[in-house]
Amino acid sequence: MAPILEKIMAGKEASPFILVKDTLEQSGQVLGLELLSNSPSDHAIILVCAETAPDRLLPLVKGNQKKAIVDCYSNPLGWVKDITFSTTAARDATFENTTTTVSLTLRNIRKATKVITDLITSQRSNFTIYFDSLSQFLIASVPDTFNLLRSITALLTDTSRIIAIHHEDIPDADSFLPDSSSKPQASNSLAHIATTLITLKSSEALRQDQEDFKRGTVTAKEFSYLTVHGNAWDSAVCEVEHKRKSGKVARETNAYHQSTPTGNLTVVNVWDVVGDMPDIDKMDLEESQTADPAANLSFNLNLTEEQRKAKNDTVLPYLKTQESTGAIYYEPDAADDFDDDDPDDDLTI
Amino acid sequence: MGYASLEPHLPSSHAPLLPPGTFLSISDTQASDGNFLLHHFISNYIKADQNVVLVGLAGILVHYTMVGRKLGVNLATARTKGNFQFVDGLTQLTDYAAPNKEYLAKPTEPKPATITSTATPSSTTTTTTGARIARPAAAAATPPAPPKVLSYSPKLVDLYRALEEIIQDAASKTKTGPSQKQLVLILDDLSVLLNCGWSCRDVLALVRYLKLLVAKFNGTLITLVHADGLMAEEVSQDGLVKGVFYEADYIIDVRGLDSGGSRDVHGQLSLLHGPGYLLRQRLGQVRENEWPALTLHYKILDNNVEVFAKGYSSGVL
Repeated sequence: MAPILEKIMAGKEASPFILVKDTLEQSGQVLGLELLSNSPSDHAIILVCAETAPDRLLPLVKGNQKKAIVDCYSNPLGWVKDITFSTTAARDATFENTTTTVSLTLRNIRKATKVITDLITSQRSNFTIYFDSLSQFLIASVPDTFNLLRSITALLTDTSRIIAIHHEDIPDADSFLPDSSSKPQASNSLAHIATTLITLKSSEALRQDQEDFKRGTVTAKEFSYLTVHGNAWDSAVCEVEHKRKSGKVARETNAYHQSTPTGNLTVVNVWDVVGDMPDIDKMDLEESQTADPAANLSFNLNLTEEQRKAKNDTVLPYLKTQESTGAIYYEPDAADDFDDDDPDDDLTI
Repeated sequence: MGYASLEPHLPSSHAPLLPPGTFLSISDTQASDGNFLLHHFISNYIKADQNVVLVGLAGILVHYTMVGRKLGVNLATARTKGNFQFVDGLTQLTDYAAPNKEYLAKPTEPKPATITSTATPSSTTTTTTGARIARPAAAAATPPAPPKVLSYSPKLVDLYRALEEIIQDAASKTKTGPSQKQLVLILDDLSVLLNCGWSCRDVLALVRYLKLLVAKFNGTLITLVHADGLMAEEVSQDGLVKGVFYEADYIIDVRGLDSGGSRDVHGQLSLLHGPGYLLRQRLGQVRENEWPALTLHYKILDNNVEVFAKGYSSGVL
């Protein structure tokens, strides 16, 4: 059985909204771009760049599909009037010829929604839209970002899809307000609408967890925003939750591996990357099957044939009461003064 | 040349300078001040005769001059030569300075008697509401002009425009010959902007705009931000640190030792790979082991900082 991540990457599992949740410790950008590169050849690819310069993202999208870029990176708050920022982009003629670029600010997500949906409809084909960071939108306005996603979902065709990277650790616009705890977390709401949810973890973090599990302790961690093990280029662990159209949900922990920093991604089993993982289910099963409590004792707990027969023949004192309906059986012994009459007979109340 | 023991651990492609078009984010804590790293870069760039624009939001020029002297650079000379620009972002940044304005450098005061016909254009002021920059005319033989002052404005965009002018000015003055000098813009430090009341989102936008601006002029951006564990509960502070880390190409985190203070080791310095670094690796812009992620220890001495591998402190060996 191929890992589910491999099937998703190959397009064998359809998914209209793939959400890649990552953190500072393990970026999901590489995986996201790989997913994007595997888009069907008839798709128009729309890159919404909010956190990475378009000229850095574009070379990593392999494939000959038609590409359009929504540049929210160069002028996020509209502080500059003319956009001549993307220096390398301006000089690269081929870039300009084969891709349409639309510049956008993130001050007003509703306006941005209009621009993006117009761009999608103008492509007139199946499309894959890629958000390199939903967090930049969420920090502006949470409800407007969800409306943006809904508007795009309304335009999705059979094979079109949304691939979005979401940074779990960046606060969204609501977190800055004093009553933030009463509002639903954007992260959770996004996970609800996504059909595939891929959570990235660094291989080292999982190795640590396994070590702790084996030892039965939890290693004390010093506070840090990012550790030296963060963003290792060679591998990462992906927890995948994929909702199929039938309603079934597939939940697997896979991993990917690269042999060189610029090489191809291969999906592998997570234990190839993390090392031997004690399987919790497997351990429970083993215990219940093989444990023989009477095994290694210094005294004998077993029964001989005679003892077993005698045991089966014993009459238990209250067996009758167990088998009967509920009538009370009272058998007085010698010392009891048994009187069948009702003691309340002489009352004249 | 800065701190010799730190050199081998910095990106080597343009050593002793940083690769142009990149952004180095330095984070520190109360227990371990990351300022010493800024002095290293100031010293290296000036010794290499490149441009430094230092925005002092948390420190005054005198402080940098004194430390610079210990490291063998004369900031006053550099300022006269035009290699070093100091921007005062401390004295008039908030409107709290308003009552004391008469004691501070007047932003629009034109410099008398030193304006010669060969000098560059004389004082100009931006026409936006709020931010005004002191721009005394620069003439060749006069003593260094007083530093430019960032004036209060409720909108951070005005601060950006003020800095944009300063950088364009600095870059254009030194554009002699075919190659433009490398520029480094140092912001010391970002947390001050947050504390003065600008929103986390605005400060992050400022960083983004400055990063793009500086890249246009063959430059590098270096910022300092405070990243204490105790402040992580505050959403703006936390959001700023994380946002800056997502923007950065290189991250250096300076932290105190988890086990407490020590006489021989003042703290630890971690070279970290953020999402930006991973992407550059994927693009092939950095080679596989060009800048490995690791944690080092350091000790601050009188005119040097010793950086060494964990466990190799001279007090131990």
